[in-house]
Amino acid sequence: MRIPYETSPALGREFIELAPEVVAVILLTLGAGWQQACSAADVNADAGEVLMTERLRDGMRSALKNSPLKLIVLPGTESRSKSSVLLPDGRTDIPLMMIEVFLRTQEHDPHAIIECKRIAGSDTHLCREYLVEGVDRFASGKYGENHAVDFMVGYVLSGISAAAVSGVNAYLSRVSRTADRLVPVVFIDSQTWHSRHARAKPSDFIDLHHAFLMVADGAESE
Amino acid sequence: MGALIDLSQLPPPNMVEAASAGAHEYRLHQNWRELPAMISDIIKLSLGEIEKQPLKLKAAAVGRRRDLMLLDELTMAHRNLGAQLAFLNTKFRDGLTQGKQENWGLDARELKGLELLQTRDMRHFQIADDLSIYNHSKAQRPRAREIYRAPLLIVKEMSLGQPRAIVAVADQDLIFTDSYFAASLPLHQKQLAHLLAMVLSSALASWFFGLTASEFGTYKRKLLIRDVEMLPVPEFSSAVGSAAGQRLLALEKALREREVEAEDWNTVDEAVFDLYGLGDSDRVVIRDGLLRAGWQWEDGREASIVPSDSRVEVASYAGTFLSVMDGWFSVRKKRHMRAEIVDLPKEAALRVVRFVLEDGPGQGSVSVINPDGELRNVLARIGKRLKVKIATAVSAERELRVHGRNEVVIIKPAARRHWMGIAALEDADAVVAESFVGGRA
Repeated sequence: MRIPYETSPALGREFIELAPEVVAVILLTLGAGWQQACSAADVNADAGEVLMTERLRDGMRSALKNSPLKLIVLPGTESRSKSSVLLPDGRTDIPLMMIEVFLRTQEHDPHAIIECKRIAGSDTHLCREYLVEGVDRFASGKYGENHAVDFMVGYVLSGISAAAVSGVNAYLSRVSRTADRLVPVVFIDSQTWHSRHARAKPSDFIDLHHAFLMVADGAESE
Repeated sequence: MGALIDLSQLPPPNMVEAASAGAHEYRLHQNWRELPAMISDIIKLSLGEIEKQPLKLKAAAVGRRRDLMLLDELTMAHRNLGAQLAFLNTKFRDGLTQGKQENWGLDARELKGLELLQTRDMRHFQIADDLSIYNHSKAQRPRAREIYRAPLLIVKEMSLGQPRAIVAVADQDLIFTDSYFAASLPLHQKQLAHLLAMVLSSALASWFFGLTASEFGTYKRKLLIRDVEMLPVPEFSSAVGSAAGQRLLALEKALREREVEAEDWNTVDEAVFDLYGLGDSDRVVIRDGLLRAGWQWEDGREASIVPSDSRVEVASYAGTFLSVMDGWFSVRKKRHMRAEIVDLPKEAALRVVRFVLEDGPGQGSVSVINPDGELRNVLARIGKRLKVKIATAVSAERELRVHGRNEVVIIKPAARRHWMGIAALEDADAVVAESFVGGRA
């Protein structure tokens, strides 16, 4: 979420660092939104990724209604990996915008991106897709090239979230990318994971926060 | 009128910059033209936005960011009053123009015998019970008989001495003059008429009119039909049936029989906020909007530039600022923020508040500390600690946020208008937004 910023009457060299709180807010909003999404009968292990993402997006908006945290959940949008790319080359699932940053900068690109994938620890194809079609879009700079932190969501179709993480990490081991492994972190009360990925210069590395959301009739309760 | 649309600075071709230069304050200053607009007075608005939502043009000129955000939310969440009245096959109409005798060209006989509501016959929620009887056969513009059919939701065009609209309901047919406009509602919608009278009299309506009305809020005190019809209102039937709606109806019934006290207005406003489902920060924005609408009158303008009291207005500012920051810190419960207000003497030109970030969970707290010297000593100490030349900066920018690793110091002129709740919300928003600059969020 590295945003260009207009000249302001702020002075001083170091600003208060709210990044951990921003990450926590987004993870909590994801959890609250998913809770609401799961009340819909069509959110189940047979549902497509797009339907679950639409339900999640609606749930997040509802969770943020009347919240003092002025985050905006944008519709899924076509995106361009660089300003030099004219035709959209990606489709971000859940872009987030912080309204104050937008109002100050008129920065239309999202300030955080959440990419969503179906996953199950026992399904090596889905674990690979989570990496190749998800994580690697951030690592390659296709998504969030100017962001330092972004987010991944895994809809756990069967098993438990730890098994899904194991499946993803097992794939990373097989392709000799152990540095990219997901590790558990304590940001909020519920379990989430973190990974860090090098990017081509001049970009710095990107931190990804992963939330694995249990799909009611497929996944085992944890 | 203090608003200005600054096209002279050659903004990008698709942008207009609008600034509220706070001329209400400067007007009272001999050299007001020399005083600069502040950065926080400037809002950028794309031409596309203006075309999509014309209400925003004035709002961007006289309002602030939080005003625009709330305006956006309300207009997206609710249909406007005019559209909802149209579903009931009614709308606001201007009243009778009797005019000079030489202009009495139209037949007014069907109005004869009805009571006549004239300029001074209506107060908040009350219609005088000794109205005169209309007895002319002709008038310049008598209007159609059916627009005078009860129940009538009547709005007075001019506000008197304060920024709340004067609205009442007539439960019997009557003629209103053109110093009013009114909507004749279906007979079975009496409760709705009374509920709308409360909504239109509330701080929320005054805030909205101040931001969007074509004349009201531009050193004129007049409401037009269009202004009122643009007000977003909750869906009629659910509003009347809601708990907040029922509270408003009970209070309106009481206020038809007695004077409205200051405490009644607070009750009206809170119930209207509940009706709209507004959160705490939105209530701050609207209460401040009512205050700002009061700057149309000299008393309000003068009150806005009275030096703020560190223990009252500045303390309230600090509490509101912390409420925004608490919203972020409470998510992880790992850190909290507290405020220290420097207790400067009333005659000091500036006020200073320091917000300090501390480890551990907790609620924001506000304390008042001894300045330990004069204002210049206070500024010098802050500047030395945070390695910033404050004296130089404050001569160029009248509002400053001075940042340190775990603190931010807010320095502003002493006038109350700089320490309003909406300023606190926006200053806190700025601190949050500035934390994005580091690129680690």
